[in-house]
Amino acid sequence: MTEPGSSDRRGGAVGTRAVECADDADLIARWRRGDERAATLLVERHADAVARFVASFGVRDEIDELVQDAFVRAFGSLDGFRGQSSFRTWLFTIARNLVRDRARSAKVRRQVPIEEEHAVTDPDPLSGAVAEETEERIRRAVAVLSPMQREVFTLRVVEGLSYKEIAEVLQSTEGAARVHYHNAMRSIKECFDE
Amino acid sequence: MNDCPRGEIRDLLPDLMAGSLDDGTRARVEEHLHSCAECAAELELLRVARTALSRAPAMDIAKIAGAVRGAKPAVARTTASKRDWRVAALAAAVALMVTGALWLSTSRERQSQIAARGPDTVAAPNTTVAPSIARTPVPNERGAGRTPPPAPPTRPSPGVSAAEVAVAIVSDPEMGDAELDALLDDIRSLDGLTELEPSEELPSLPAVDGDVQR
Repeated sequence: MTEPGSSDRRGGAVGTRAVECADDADLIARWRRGDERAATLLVERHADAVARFVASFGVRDEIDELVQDAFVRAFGSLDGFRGQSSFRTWLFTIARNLVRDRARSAKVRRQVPIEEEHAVTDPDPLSGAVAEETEERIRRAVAVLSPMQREVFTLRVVEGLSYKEIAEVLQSTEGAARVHYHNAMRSIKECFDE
Repeated sequence: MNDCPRGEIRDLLPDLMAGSLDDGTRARVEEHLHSCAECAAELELLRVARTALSRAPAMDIAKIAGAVRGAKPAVARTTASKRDWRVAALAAAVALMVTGALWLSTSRERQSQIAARGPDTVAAPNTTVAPSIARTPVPNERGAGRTPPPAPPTRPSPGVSAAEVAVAIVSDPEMGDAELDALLDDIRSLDGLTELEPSEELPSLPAVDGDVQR
């Protein structure tokens, strides 16, 4: 189980000042006391991950708006955050609900792979035609997964969440998350075996 | 691409990639990878997948942070609304008592005029009510552990009305929620009205000519 308020395991640009080294629980407490810098740090720490997660649903045009909405809702309802999961997991839960609400209201379920035109947030982009082709094959393989398999695979592989955290985001169970992940892996491998 | 039969190792490959394994587990998985081509291939596939899927538009951090700063914590909003309720309840209770006090005061004054006495000494209802509020240095009376209020309302001077005391209490920004609660409890339990009721001993009426004195 992720420790409440754990900081970003992938690391961000954490400075040496105490407030920048504070974990999520500390930053939330600081914000509640009126420290606006704490809110900015939390956004810096988690915005890219939330954007990646939203993009994994195939959303293209409203990613920044959805990410902003997720953060506003999270900060506006901090009394509902009991610290039993990580702050990032909680953000993912809110973002997921927002994406689903919008998909329902728009009556459109997009399953378009992420376009190359989007800015790359990965600091270490692959180069070479073979690598590009492999990446494109994986993106196509992920795009045809079921929505649940795609969400679980993205949360597990891209965000590094445990099955327990994934279950919290998807409001499911660890066992179901594990099954969806392995089914997703099998489907992706079959795409490469074709 | 075949699957390694060691499902528990394959389950840990995303954690190995994320760097979230403890030293012992990481060593065990890495040792397995040295001798398992299937798991090594799966790990490489996961690394490429992570890179391929880690693409999203750059977020405007300043814009999001600005939007977040406009969102008050719900805890603060809830606390404020509860406090507002308490203050409103206290003000309403005091206003009710003041109204009752004024009515009784007016009633007594009428009786006094009828009895041809001077102004009643119970301007009283106003100061009788106020002390009930004034004598509530709540925290200390109600047990240990509470912080005494910074400046509890003191017995007002005769010229200060209960209404003025009520306004002072309601507008006192230093009065905490516990003190407000205690004041409300005090007011609810007040039998102050009893104190304002006319005394059992009614003023005697002057004799009127023609009455039969027995």
